[in-house]
Amino acid sequence: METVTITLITQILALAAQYGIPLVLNSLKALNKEEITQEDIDALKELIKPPEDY
Amino acid sequence: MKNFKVSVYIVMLILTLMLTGCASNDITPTIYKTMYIAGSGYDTGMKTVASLQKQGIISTEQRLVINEYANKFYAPYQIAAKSLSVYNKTKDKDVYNQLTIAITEFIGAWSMFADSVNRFQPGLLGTDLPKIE
Repeated sequence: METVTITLITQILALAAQYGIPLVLNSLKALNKEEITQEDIDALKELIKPPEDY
Repeated sequence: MKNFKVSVYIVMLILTLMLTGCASNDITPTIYKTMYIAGSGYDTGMKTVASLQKQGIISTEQRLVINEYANKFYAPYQIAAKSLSVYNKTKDKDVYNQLTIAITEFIGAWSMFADSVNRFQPGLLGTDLPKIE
């Protein structure tokens, strides 16, 4: 296995351990999408909140 | 040196966007994915910051500084999100230009934001966002 692949897998596992599997799975799903819908694009606005709201 | 790297990156991004815009009418999926990664990273960073503040690791003053950097990312990100939404429906050139400017701004603001978070949680956020190709 290539070093880059191992590094990527390690990072994904680290993210899953820190933030939970659903977040990592959702991110991978979003990046694998072949067709981006208008709803997907509109959802970008709700993906993040103003800093003060955290 | 870092500013130079960021400037080079921004110029490359604009050129790539322009070239891709000429070559293909549909750059929307690529921009969407870049924005999704950036947004998820911001969200992760801010949730971590909030958690560290609750634990007393980050003071109110330090939080205000992080929020300042975060706002420099948040504002253009929201403009880009709105612009992308309109551009996807209209393919309007002016909206595309506005979108390009907003993307350039939030990518430029990212490394400062990531640095401000990584100061308290080393290595949490990458200091570069993926390139739009």
